[in-house]
Amino acid sequence: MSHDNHDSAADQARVQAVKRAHAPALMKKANVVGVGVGLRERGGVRTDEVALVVMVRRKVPLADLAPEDVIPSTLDGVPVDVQVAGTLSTQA
Amino acid sequence: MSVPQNVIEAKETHKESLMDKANVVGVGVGYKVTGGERTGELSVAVLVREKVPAEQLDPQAVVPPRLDGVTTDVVQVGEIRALQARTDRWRPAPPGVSIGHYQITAGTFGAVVRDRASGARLILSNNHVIANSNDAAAGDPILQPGPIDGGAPGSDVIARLERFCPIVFATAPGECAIAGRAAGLANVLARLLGSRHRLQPVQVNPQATNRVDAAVGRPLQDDLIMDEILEIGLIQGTRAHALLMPVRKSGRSTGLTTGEITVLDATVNVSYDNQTAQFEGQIVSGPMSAPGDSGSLLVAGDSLQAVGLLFAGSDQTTVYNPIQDVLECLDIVI
Repeated sequence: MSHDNHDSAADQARVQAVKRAHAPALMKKANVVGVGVGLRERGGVRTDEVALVVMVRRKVPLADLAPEDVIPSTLDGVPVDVQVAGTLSTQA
Repeated sequence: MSVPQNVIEAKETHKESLMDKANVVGVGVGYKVTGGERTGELSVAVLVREKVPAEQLDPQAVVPPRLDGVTTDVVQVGEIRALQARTDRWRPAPPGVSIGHYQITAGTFGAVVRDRASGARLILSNNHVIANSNDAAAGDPILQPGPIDGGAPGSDVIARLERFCPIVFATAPGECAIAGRAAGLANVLARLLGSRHRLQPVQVNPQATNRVDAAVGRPLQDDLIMDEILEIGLIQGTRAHALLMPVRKSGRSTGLTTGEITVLDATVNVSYDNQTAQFEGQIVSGPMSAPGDSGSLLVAGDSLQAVGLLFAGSDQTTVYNPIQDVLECLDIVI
């Protein structure tokens, strides 16, 4: 996907469409608490690349995951970035 | 430099009669200020709400220029108020302080909004803060501070529940299926008809999703609430959210915090005690909250525009409903 700022809105719209198509399946995977549109992180540093962000309770080694719980690195040509979000609870 | 004994004695001898004078709010020891300049002369400092010309005062309200040979200095300080915590009782109460339905712990009074139809000023917060996660009826007491901060149903009621957007839970201690929205509206209707019967919305559809966790309360009197959010100020309209937008919030537990939007259009599963609810179209930031901050208004970092309504989070993230969805669901304006 383009890293050019001019294409950022188009990138977001495309990721949003892919997110909508895949959210139900992604939300069923173990550890997944959310799916959204964000920016990819590489080595803990945020890039300007728009990605489908999968929010997980914690990161789990690939070897410890059942095949159906593995999150693909791309979906329909869109990069997928797994980010740790913890367990989301109401803040009351 | 130590304070000469005669200055301290003059202050101690006369402090009670000084405090009895109109306008005096405090007495102390300080360097005398003459013509705006601090001098090296220690004096008995008399703190007043406002300086008033001696000829306009009753003779007994005039502060003498000297006491037992020690100079006095009248210092204008305004009204002295104790610094209040966000978990304290506030009247009037500003957004940013503790609030809660009488059966919950505590959350945050997010903002003052207006009923779209009547223009009445209302308190905005979450359903799970002022409507007990659907388990409430219109007219239920809302306490400031919230119950966990000592708010009592007798003396600390600030508002009554006006209406809420029902939350549809994906998993619930269910019996029969009644749509949450229908039950929520039915509660309002039952209330209007004078019924005390409360309908419990139960939802068994695992596909069910929500857009907002929001509710409004009507203050018992209009002057019990202030418009300015603590440490932020008066909100001026709304702004659409965007990736990397700088944002801030003012909440009961963590006060004023700042961050930026990291994820948008998020679909998230959120834990409500022993239930889970799914939300769509949500805004996500880095960690900006702790339990008790629910209901805080998300405000743009560089303007006074409302962006969202805080309702969930973890140690790593905070999640908000987009403000436009909140306004539409509750039929309110900000």
